[in-house]
Amino acid sequence: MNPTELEELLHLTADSHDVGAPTLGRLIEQGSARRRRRRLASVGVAGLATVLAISAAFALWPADDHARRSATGPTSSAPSGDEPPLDAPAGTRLVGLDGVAVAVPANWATQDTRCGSAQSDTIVFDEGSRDCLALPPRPVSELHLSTVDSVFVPDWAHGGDETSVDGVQAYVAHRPVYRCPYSGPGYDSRCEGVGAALIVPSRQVVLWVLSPDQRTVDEVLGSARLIPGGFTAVPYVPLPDHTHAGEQLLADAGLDATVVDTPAAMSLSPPWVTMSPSSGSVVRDGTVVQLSWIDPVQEIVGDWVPALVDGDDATDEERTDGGLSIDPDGHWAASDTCNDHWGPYAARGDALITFTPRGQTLVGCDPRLAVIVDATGLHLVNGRLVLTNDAGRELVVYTRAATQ
Amino acid sequence: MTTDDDEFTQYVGARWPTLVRTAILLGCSPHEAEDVTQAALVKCLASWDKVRRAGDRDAYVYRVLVNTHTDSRRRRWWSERPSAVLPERADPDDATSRIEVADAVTRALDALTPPARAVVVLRYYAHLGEQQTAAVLGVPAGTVKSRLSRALDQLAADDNLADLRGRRHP
Repeated sequence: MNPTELEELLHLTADSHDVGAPTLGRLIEQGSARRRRRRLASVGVAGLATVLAISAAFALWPADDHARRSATGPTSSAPSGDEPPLDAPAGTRLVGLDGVAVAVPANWATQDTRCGSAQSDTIVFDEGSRDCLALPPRPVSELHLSTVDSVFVPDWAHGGDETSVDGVQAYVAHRPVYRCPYSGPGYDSRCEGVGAALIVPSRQVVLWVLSPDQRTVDEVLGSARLIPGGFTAVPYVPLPDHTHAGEQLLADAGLDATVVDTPAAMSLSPPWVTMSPSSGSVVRDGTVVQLSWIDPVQEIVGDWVPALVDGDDATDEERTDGGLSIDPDGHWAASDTCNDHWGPYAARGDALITFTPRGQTLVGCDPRLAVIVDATGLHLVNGRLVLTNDAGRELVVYTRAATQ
Repeated sequence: MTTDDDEFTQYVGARWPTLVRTAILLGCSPHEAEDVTQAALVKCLASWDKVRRAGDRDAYVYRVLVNTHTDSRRRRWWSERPSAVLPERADPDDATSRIEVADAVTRALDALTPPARAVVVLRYYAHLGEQQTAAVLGVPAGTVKSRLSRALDQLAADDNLADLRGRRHP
């Protein structure tokens, strides 16, 4: 298809749709209202006093030290050691953004999303879903951390009732019960839940929680605290990313970055990088954050067992007989419980590995795992391997096999 | 009306049809496209000083449009129920060949992955440059180039477009 012809076809297609005139008055009215809401959020208003039920989750923090510290810029000096402890309740850990932190269950992942949908209970630094669209949600809990002016902040999060966090003005908004009304691969029809959002205007931070469980929403948002002086939240560094950008972000936050295992030449662009402690972790100022290059091949080599097949839980038979083995020299072999499949793979960058089925045995059967033949991509997502087809649909999700 | 509003009015007046049609080519129904474009422009107006400061105003607005479109798809999973309403029918008065072309192109676009579709629409309908498209999608220019190349290959092999190649269109 030559570009001129494609251009002509696109214009013909687009022009076949009549477009009415814009409702400019309504646009300006809505835009002005949104602008007003943001302005109000940044200077504070006397609103309805809604007390956010705050559970006594943390050790006491000095109120609003962060504001004083921010005014003089981040400090890169080592902590004096006399800051109060930042203990999270048992079984939880602290995550934060720009001076505000909450406690989440310790086993929650960070940024475990695919196409914008959380895949497990996870913390999400909302960068949107750039590369794919509309994966159905799962019945999991998610904490989103974002700045107030991000386009990804849902409309319902704005305009909540006034409350306070450590004496600092905040707003809390509640989202009505939501449901996941669609059925299909990867979708659980039981999915429904509630949401709530907390805006702290002086920090320009929004936190919102979606969960099938009201208690989780209340506990996470109810644990909100200002991060005291001497501590900071590790900023979100989009991964994969070039370490130089990551280093700068960390330096801006008063943290030291150490890059380890930088290869002389990377074959992947962009390179894969991990970060420890992870984004959102609340650490002492000056903490060293380690950025490490990942060798994607080393990450995937080994034996894997199916956890989800076409969106549904794998059966015992599939877990026992439907394994996938990846060797370090660019080949893989798998069983669909009936036929064997094999082919090459190649690391391509963008956290994607091209996965090419080249052959299979031809026993007369059609098990669910035979969807492997449609796989073209293999993603490594929070320690799980996800096989996808050309359209980005998840075919099989594997977890690493237990070591013998 | 403020200066911002005046500028905004002028901008919307000039770009509205193209923005709505871009949303359609990205996969929206016509009604949804108007909603998505409206939502995107409301966000832009609320931050019009940022739009004004942006080195490339169009790239900024298209970025908000693409993100709003993406976000609307995500919200759809969370908030909408399936509808029994049938898809809109083509206007019977339209020239048949025009409908055929639009239908074939839409099917071919539907077969592309969303990232490939976005690159094709932004480059060949919205006429954004490679760097602008990269800025809109938040990916390196090299990625735009490779996605475009793969998308063109796929469109060249697409059966829906087979009959349209090399023929004069209405």
